[in-house]
Amino acid sequence: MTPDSRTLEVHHLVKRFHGHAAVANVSFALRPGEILGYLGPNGSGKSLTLKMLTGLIDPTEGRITYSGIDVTGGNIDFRRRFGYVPEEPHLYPFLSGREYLDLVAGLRDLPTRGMRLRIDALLERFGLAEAAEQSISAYSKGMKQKTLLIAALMHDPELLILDEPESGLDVGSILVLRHLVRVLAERGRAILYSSHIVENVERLCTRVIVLSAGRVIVDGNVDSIRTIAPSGSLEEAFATLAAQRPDSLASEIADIVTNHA
Amino acid sequence: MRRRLLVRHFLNQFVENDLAPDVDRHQILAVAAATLITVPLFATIFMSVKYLMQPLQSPGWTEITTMGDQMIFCATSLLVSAVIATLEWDALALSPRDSVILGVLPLPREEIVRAKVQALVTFAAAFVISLNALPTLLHPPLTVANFSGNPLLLVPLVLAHAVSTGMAGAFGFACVVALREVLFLCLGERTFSRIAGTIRSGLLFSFLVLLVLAPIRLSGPTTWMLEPGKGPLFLQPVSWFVATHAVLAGRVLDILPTPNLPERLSAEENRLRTQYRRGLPHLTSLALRGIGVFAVVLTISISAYLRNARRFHLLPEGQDTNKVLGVSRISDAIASILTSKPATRAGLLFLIRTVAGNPSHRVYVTAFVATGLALLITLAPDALFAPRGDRPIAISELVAQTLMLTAIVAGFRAAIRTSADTRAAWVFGIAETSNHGEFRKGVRLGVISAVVATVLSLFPLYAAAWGVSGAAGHGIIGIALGWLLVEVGSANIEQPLVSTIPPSDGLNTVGVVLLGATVIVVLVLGAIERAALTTFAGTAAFAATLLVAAAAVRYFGERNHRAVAISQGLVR
Repeated sequence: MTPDSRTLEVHHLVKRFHGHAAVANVSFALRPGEILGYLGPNGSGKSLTLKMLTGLIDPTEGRITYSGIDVTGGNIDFRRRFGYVPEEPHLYPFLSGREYLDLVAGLRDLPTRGMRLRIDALLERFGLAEAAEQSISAYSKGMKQKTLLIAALMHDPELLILDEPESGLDVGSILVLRHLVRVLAERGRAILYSSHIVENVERLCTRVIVLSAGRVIVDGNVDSIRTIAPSGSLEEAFATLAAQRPDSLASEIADIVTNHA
Repeated sequence: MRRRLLVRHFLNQFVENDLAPDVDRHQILAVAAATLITVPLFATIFMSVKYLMQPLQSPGWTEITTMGDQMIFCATSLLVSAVIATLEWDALALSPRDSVILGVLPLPREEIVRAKVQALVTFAAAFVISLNALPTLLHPPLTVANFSGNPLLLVPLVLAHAVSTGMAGAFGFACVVALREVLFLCLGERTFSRIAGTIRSGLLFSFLVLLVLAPIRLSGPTTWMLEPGKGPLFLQPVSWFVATHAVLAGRVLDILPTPNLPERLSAEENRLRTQYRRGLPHLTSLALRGIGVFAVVLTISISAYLRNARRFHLLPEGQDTNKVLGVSRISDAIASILTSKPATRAGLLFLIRTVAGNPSHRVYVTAFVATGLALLITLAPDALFAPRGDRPIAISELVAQTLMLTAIVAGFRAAIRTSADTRAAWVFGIAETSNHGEFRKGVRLGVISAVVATVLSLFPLYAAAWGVSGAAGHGIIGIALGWLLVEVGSANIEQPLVSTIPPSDGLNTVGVVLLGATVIVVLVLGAIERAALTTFAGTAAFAATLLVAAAAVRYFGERNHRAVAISQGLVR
């Protein structure tokens, strides 16, 4: 793989469960330096696509290539090149934060000495230094998310796959994350940013894909998507695209809550 | 290096079991390790006394007697290993969590699977060896301590003990792995994860009942093993490993010197020796059958394991392997019948769903109920298996039900003292406002329902043994006593299932005292009950006394809880 050809390409990806297509014909490309927003309502197939990209799930149809090499279903060399933050904070609760990071570093075959310093520095910057020796079972959701972020970043990946990375983070940490993603992109890393927080995607991403019921309904830059809504807001455009009517839905919920009959 | 790291990590997973609550995980591990050493040690010495106290010990008698001991050693090794494998159910194979964490790292899948298998084999071997080490080193020398001869003869005896108990333990462990993997393979990921909790609970319950029963039911003669086609079917697997020991050790025991015996003992010795020698071909075939079945189980478990590990398995979101089938519907139905108050209903439903859905709570209740059932089977075998109408009531049969109810209440007490989830308990504390009394009532109602259900299910058995009137009296007293036990057991629990402070005293510190006191109280109650059951008035008076005592405990318990609530400003 040459450094200049590090493009992730997804070709007509399909995943079916019992005949039902949870992801249908998804195609896109992600180039170095690009931040691609991956938007969609709950259950639209965002996380499933990311799991297929990381090789956790095999697609029913379609192909994934990285630098022109087929990496569908997982490829050891490809796994060295990406970092992944899953949607759910999957961590071993009986390990401490540092033990978990040491485990991941060891399994990635990263040099012990330099890595120890790097882990310490990352723990410090993410505000986890004091809790590093505590058991993960005692961590808050935000602390778990930060641990996952450090694990995804510590080997300096070319490609960062983030599945709702802001989940559980406080406002300050979200701001840091936003800047971090931007800086990494400027330094040539490709970033796939799946989120349901439209504001984050709007501020960060150079390009956005909107998914609905497993299908790509829009693939374009943020400005072109804004034009879909009369107000020019990405949030409204997203609701329109996902065929959601937030105002009427909110009224219905309020009716259920306040109606005591 | 990477492989070693993975193996160490997977071994950690076996030790850091989800069943042990976080707060006292290391205390539980320490108690488990101490039990693993002390119980086999005491059992071995206890079982060896009969050899040391035999002044005229002869080879034939030793051959036959060691078979009985070996039956207990092999059965215990098999069942304890099976219990441990069941407790480690989730850690036996790569979990969805392993898949998500390790599946995205640059590790070949085969390397992860190999490391997992290596950790599994290491754990099983380490456990089986620890369990059997002391009996293996102590029992053979003690059985032949009265014989003079070459000390090197001990080597094959120790080896025979090690092979038979080791194989039995490995067989128990492998059977659980094979069952799990074959079910996974045949049913598929989704169906398997739906029924895994139910299967695991059923297995654990069965193994624990058999384990408690083993020392009592297996202490009889084992000469049935020497003839083809004899002996109970459920003992066949154990008999394979006992036969392995007999074949390996018997040849050594056979050449030990026979002391000068009186005529009667000499004739008996000759009879035993002849019986043993005649039985050797059958023992050899049993041993070979054992080796064959063991090989088949190992092959099945390894093949299914490797086949299942060909791809990573991710649990679909929201799907929980720990659920027991149909609990929601059953608990809803029970709650609708028993109460209409929302807070009471919440307590009752929370108890049922926590015990059914939370592995550690389920293990507490399962372990105690299994012990109770085993005691019931031991103490009242005639009432259960050979009912004859209208015969005198034995105290042991009365005590059996009381012990069963005590075990149930003790299991539920252990469960409700433990928070369903410490973090969730904080949220619950906010949602629950000040209605603690009704919530506690709901939890108690759940335990009382379990007590009543147990008494009702035992009623037909007692009725067949003693007649309807005797059984009805015993049932009424059982319900009243169960109610009292529930009140006593829950009296000092301020917030059942939602306490944010872990219990400070454990069964390990006060267990021995409690056990002794329970035995005395239960025997006294049994004697009083037998006297009370002779007349209707006596039965009614005894039941009423128990109910009044229960009401008094409830009154004072609630008064204390209210005083605490007032001091905390929760109620006025």
